[in-house]
Amino acid sequence: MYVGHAAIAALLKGKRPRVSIALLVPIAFAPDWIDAFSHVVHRPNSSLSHSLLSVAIGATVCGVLYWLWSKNAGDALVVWLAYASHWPADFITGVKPTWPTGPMVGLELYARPGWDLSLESALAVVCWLVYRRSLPAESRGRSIGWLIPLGLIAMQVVFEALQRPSFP
Amino acid sequence: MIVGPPAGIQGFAARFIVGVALLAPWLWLVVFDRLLRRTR
Repeated sequence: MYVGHAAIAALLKGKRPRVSIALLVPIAFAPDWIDAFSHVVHRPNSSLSHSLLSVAIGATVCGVLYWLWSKNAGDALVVWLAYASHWPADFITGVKPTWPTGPMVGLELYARPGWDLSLESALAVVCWLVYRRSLPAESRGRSIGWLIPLGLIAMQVVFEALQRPSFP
Repeated sequence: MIVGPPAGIQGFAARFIVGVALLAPWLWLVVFDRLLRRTR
């Protein structure tokens, strides 16, 4: 999944406005950051970044660290959810490791780019609608707010096109 | 999203694209969140 992770971060921001979106987005993408870094240091290992086990550990470490800093269990749970949501989201769109030497599982929606684009676009709109309710009343109706889901959908289109030059 | 870049100049280009792909939704949401939460 690509922009779906950002959409989920926006949804969580909508549910818990005190937690910074500047934190929630990179936390929601954390396994991808780890994966990118592992390629930079020439030690790619998808079990380390994307396995069910590594995501569970990473989410718990981030949740506990946030709880120690904020002393707020609800906010820490949202940080945990932002990280933990990565695995089920990727399970839908790809094939991901479970644990070292464990099976690879997933629904691999990436094999159907049109369906993937539809799902992630719908997720961007639904999560934005939830997020929008957390905005000040005077901002909720501003049309500029629509640029959030529209921009995310545009990024997803570019992502699909880069992965498959024949898309659509 | 897992994108394994090849080596060499193509590898650099692939890493650059992955970096942009990770930064773009982050910056997009941060900028608009700041904009929309600022009361006039």
